[in-house]
Amino acid sequence: MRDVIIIGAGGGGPVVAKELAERGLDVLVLEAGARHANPEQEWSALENHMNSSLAGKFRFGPADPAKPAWFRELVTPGNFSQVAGVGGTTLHYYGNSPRAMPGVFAGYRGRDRWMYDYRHQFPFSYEEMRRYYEWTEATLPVQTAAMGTKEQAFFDAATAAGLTPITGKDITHAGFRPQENAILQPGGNAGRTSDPSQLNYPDATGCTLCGHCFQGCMLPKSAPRNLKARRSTDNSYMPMALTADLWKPGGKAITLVTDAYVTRILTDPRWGGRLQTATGVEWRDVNTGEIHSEDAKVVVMAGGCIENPRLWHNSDLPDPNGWVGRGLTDHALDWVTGIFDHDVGGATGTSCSSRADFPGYGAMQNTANTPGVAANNLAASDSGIRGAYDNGLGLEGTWDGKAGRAYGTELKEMMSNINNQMSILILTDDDVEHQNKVDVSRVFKDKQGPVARVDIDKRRRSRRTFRNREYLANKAAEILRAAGATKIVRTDWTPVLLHLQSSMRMGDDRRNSVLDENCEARAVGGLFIADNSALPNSLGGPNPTLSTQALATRTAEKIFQQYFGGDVWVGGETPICSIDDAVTQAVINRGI
Amino acid sequence: MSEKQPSNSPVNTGRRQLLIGSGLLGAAVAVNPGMAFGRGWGRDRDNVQENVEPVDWTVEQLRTALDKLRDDTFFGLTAFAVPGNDPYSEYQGRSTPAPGGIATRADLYLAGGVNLLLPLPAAFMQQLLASIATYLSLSPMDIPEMASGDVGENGEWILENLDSTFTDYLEGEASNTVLAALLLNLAATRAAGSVDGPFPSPFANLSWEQKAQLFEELESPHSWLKRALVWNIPDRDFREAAPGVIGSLVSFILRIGGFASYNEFAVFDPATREVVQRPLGWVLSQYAPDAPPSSIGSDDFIGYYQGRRSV
Repeated sequence: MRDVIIIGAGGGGPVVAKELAERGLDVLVLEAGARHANPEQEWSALENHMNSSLAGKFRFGPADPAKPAWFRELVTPGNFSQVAGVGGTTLHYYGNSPRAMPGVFAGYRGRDRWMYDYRHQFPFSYEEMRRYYEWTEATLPVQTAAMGTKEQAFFDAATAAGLTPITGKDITHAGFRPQENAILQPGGNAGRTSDPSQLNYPDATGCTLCGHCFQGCMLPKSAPRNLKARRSTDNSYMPMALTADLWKPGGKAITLVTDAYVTRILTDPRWGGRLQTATGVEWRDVNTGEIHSEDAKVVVMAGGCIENPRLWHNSDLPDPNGWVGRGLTDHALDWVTGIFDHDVGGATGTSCSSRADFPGYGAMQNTANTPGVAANNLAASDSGIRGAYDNGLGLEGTWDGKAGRAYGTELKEMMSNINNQMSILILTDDDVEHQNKVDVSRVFKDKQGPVARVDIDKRRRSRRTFRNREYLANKAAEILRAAGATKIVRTDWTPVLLHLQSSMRMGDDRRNSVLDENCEARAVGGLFIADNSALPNSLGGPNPTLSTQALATRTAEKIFQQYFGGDVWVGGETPICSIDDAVTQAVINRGI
Repeated sequence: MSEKQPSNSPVNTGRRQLLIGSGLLGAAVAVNPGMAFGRGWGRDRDNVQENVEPVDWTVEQLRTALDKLRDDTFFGLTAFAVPGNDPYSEYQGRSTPAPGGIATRADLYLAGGVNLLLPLPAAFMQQLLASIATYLSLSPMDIPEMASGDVGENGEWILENLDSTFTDYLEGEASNTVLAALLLNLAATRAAGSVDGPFPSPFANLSWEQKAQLFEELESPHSWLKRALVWNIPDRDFREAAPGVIGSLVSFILRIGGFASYNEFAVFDPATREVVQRPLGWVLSQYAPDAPPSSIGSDDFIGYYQGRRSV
């Protein structure tokens, strides 16, 4: 019997794995997708090769590209942007690691406290969360992003639009700032040359400003895996977990099994106290079809906001208050693009190093894009085609004309010089709402059972969600106008299922939460959740990965205390950084 | 020329409308002219061949016909998303001096994507098309000379044969792209009546504005297509899933035309994981680098905002 089985090696699972491996527990991690062991020999910087959601390296699907991606059913139009495999969706994230808005935590007393989703707060205080943020930020590590052409243009525009800088990690007021990124900042030749012969490690360290975060980070070339620039969990937490015995006295390396799709959580039903207790898991080898099972004292679900509810339902686990899979938030993402008559670095430098935050409304960030992605983002809309039809929406604001797709000759004109584009991604502080849910399809099945069905209807969001999204889209257009954009287009996206949160939410109210204040399932003992789905809300808009990782660190402590009689360590110990020399040596010695 | 005799259960109005309005009959005739040209059917009605012996369509012939119809439809779609200097762009009335999506072979990408998008069960696809036929029998399209006029006994036999072969085809592995092409062409015929033009696909013969009107209808939650499905699909689970499936398909088709036109897929070499030449989409968008290989770094570093290395 294992001490702990963790289902999923995405943004959250490896955090629990590393923390508990460091404590010496026997941890098994099961991942449905692949582990990309040799990125420099497997990956490229090309957007279709890497990012096609149907056939790319980074898709929600098996390692074998000849096999189809794993399908999920959508009730209303939208598209998934998630990745299976070790690293999960952090394989293509931009490393943005802001803290959550303080206003979404219990005990917040700010004058703007009614501006947030106050009915679905964190069940503990921001002050308690801060020490987990600090631990996680030190482990990854999180660093202040460097500035390139587009960042300078964005900061100048934000200033011209009347915003002031935010100068700390805590979001204290509406303002702009460089990203706090889980990216090692440029060192040596990095950022100073495009000559590939000068960009090998150790001549170059950290981010080389290649602009290919979305295609996965395998740079600088020849760097040990834990010294690749971006701190996706395949480069940070997972190398630490796989070598914990080598860099931590008393540590125990985890066991990682990939291509292992968990199909059932095993339980021991007992009367009295909790209704059921998790005893292990059953999984299917996606290559051979063989079924395996193992027992464990504790099971941790970390398969994400869509797969966790699916697994829960397919395991016939209880859902006494009907909130399993409910309350899904997605930041109601939207896209605003400005066209300039000069180069604003639209496809140059880092993928995303500048942002603005608006407490009570959400956030926005400036991104560089490869051409296919840029065209894709202009062509995704719930408001029809600009100049042709608007689907009954086509909102107007500080942008030009009605919101909608740029299509046909307009799309081609806007794409005629990608360097003259400045694009802003809108991250809405959206509400937890019961009707937004994940359950299982009644039509579609795969070899792992009925697939997940996702229902998040953009047109039925709360009044506050609509208000926040409109506020941010208008602000984005104002910033672009201040920067000198000659044309501004708001696309009004259909849901892009990238920043997903809260479908298995924790909370202090047993009537509307699946997890208790320790992220343990209320209905199943010994079953914890440690990914975005455990978040109680959408964090007020900031990107979710850091908060999930901080919360997962806290959950690891709770597991260690409650089930293994251990003591807490955050606050009492100094975290070991994932780029510490001891970790680097361990990674090299183990050949990972 | 011998006259084939129709059965005693002729193809009903809705099914006839489906076979003809979707472009299926026209495409099938194109691969086996003997079926219809002897009776003066098909597009080339002035070129009647009097001594051609009608034979049954085979499933393979129908597959070839549908593949050609699909290709033509997807050319029309690609020109709609990213027009260029190709015949499809020029015919729709929106073209540009520079090449567009068709030149980047976005049509192939689009078709490949549609096929991978949804694992549609065969029963689902059959019920979906049957429900549309039922709807069309109640709310027929304005194509009188083909669908409801007197086509004669040979004409009836042709329709029966086509319907029967199409049913056999659907029981095999029918691709999503064929379904999408049939739906788009059906929608084109419904929106614009008999759509004549230089291309086999009714959709490809629409103007850019007409294509936009078609998608306005398809994107609407109250579109005739979604009504047809919700009212008529017999299986309850399929019926509930159908609007989402159609919505996903339409949304994907509209969105992915942009990605397809500007990414590197057409010149990608899997052996080297590099492009063999600069993708046309990069040229059109002035995306660096000027030539392969892909960049692994830039000299864009300016410094740190206000000199802040940390906060």
